[in-house]
Amino acid sequence: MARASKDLAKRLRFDLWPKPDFFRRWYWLVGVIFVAAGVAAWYGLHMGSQQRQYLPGPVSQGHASFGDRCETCHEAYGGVPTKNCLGCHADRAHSKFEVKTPECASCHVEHRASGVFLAVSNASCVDCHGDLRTTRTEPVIAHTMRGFADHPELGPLRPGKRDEAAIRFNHKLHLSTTKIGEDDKLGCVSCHGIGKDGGLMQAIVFEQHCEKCHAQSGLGPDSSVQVVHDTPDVVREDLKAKLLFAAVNNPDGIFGSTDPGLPGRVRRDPLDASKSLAVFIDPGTPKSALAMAESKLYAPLDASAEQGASSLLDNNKYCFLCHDQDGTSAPGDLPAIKPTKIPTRWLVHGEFSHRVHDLLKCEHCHPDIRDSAETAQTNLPPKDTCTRCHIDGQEQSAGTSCMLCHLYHDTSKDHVLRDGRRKEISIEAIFGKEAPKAQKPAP
Amino acid sequence: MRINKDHRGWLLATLAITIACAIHYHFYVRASPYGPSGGSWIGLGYGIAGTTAMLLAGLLAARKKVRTWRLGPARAWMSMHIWLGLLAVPLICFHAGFRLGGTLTTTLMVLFAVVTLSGIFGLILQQYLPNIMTERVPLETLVGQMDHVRQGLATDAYELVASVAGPIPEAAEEQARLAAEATAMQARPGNWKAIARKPPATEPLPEGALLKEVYLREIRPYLWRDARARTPPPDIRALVIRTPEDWRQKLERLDAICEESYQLAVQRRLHDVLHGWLFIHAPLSFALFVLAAFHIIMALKY
Repeated sequence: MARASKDLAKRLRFDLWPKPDFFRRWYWLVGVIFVAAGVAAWYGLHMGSQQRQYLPGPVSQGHASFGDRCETCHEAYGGVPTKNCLGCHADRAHSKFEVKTPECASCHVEHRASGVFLAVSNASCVDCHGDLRTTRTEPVIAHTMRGFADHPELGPLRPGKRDEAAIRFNHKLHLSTTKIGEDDKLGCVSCHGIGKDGGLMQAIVFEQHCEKCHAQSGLGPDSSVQVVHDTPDVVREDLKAKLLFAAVNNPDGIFGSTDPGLPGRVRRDPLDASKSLAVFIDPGTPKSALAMAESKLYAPLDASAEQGASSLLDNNKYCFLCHDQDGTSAPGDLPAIKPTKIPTRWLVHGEFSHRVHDLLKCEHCHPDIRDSAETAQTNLPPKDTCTRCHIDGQEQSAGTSCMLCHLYHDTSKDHVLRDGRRKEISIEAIFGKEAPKAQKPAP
Repeated sequence: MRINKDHRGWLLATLAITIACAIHYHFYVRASPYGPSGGSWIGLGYGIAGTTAMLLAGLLAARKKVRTWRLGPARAWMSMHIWLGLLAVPLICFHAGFRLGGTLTTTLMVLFAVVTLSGIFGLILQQYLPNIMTERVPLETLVGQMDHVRQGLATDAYELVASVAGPIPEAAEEQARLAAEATAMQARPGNWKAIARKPPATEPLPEGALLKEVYLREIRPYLWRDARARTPPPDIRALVIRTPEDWRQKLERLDAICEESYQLAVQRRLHDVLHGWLFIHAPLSFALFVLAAFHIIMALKY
């Protein structure tokens, strides 16, 4: 229906100021109400949870007890200075050769998902190790490392390095010998076990791992004496005591002859012609039982018997089968045995854990062990073996985080640092108020 | 505001800035060992940019309070409000690293999302509802005058019915309006708005009773119903065959009045939809600014 403008205008009242519509009337009031509600909500949160409402993310478990007090770690308009961390944590240097020590917060980033706080990113390590500067003239470790692919060969396997232990041991011989029955066949675990810490292998203990086949026995006039595995001076005392014991227990067999008066008895020479027990165990008497036993113990290695495994063991049953003499000794003096210096830990800059790798067969990482005949062979897996599972840049990887193997704060190497700077803090200081009371367990 | 080719410049600028920031953000994330953070220098930069965009967009509310000041055309302000508001979305997301964070920041993100989505909803409405209103409400009037027009329609309807059916005592409001109108006309005889009214019939026709009955039963209640009621207009076509032929024009006029009342109700509902979303958008944006201020102060402090 067409309507003239004049007809339309006649219907309207311009003499009255038009009343604002419902929305215009209430916008601002509702806005004020919402602002008041917002302020009230903030105030309520502030009274209830104090500063927790401002947390940009969860606090890690270790800091949760004071997570609502930002000022514990944060300085107003000043970030998180290291001195605030040192209020609870001991100062933990990385290396005395570092040019600068980064702030704690540059590597340990809070307010992430719980657990992430302790997971330091490789980038923090690469910050320094990507172009390493030290107070040394030349760095002794690789100085351009940006990832696991740049990681140099493991230290003990680098050119010119060898196993410096002063002991003869032949893995090939031990793993393939036919002298042992099927039930006693040797395998890796026959001698090697994971230590209590789960990381390093247990040290080889003669009494536990070697004595069954290499007992220092068959000594004395009647071959009944077995001595301990210890330093020569300890062995001498042990030998003396055991020889005496044998002599006292079997005097006729060792010293005396049979009574010729009894029919059927045949006179025979005594095992030992010592005139007295003192001479029996006198190391200075060349023919004393002690001297004879020690000459067997410390007989030099019979090199001519190296042709066959069985002849080597048969002809060399005692100390110098495995050990080397340290220098020379005068006749009658005890020889000095070279300290074996078998390393208990090969990777001094890395934290390798055998426990974590427990599921793998030993040969997976040590494939050449059955061919290792020389002590000088280190028998550690090369870095390439690690990269079979620890693959850079792939999701299907056992991980290539620097922290998997390396510690930044390695207090285990610095007892003075660890013990001297230990801090003690009261519970009240941690919680910032009266310490929480112990909760009774629910009935 | 209609989004048309005049907004091309704003659209291209917003897209270009968003794409540039997205590329920068991608490299920023790759270079961040512990992920993006609002507290890093780059994160702070995004936060400052996003907050500035939000503040400039929010200035529209202040601008509307000083409409007479010469501060640029309203269209420009509205365009700035829309496009800077939309630009704030990626900037704030880059600032937050696409994380919600703690209690306060989560509240802020929720508010921000509601404000943005309500604004987009309102913008979409503004693209379609005006056309719908033009098609479906050709008899629209000024919203502020709607009550007055509705009363006028009721008065016109009474005048028509009373002119054949005689005075109707039940229609007291209409009688009062007509009396007031007559008084006003007498006071200003030359008033161009004066409407020539027919007086009520002194000798109503018999058919007038039927018309009166229909008027009281259906038409008058319909004209005085709630302004937003969805009730369709009464069908008075049956009256046409039961009343004199010369009444047809009156009945058509009655039908037109009911139709106009119906369209005014439609207009009212469309108006409510077109403006109601602002009840969420505007107040929540105020709360958003207040809580954002708390966040900025505490985040910069710590």
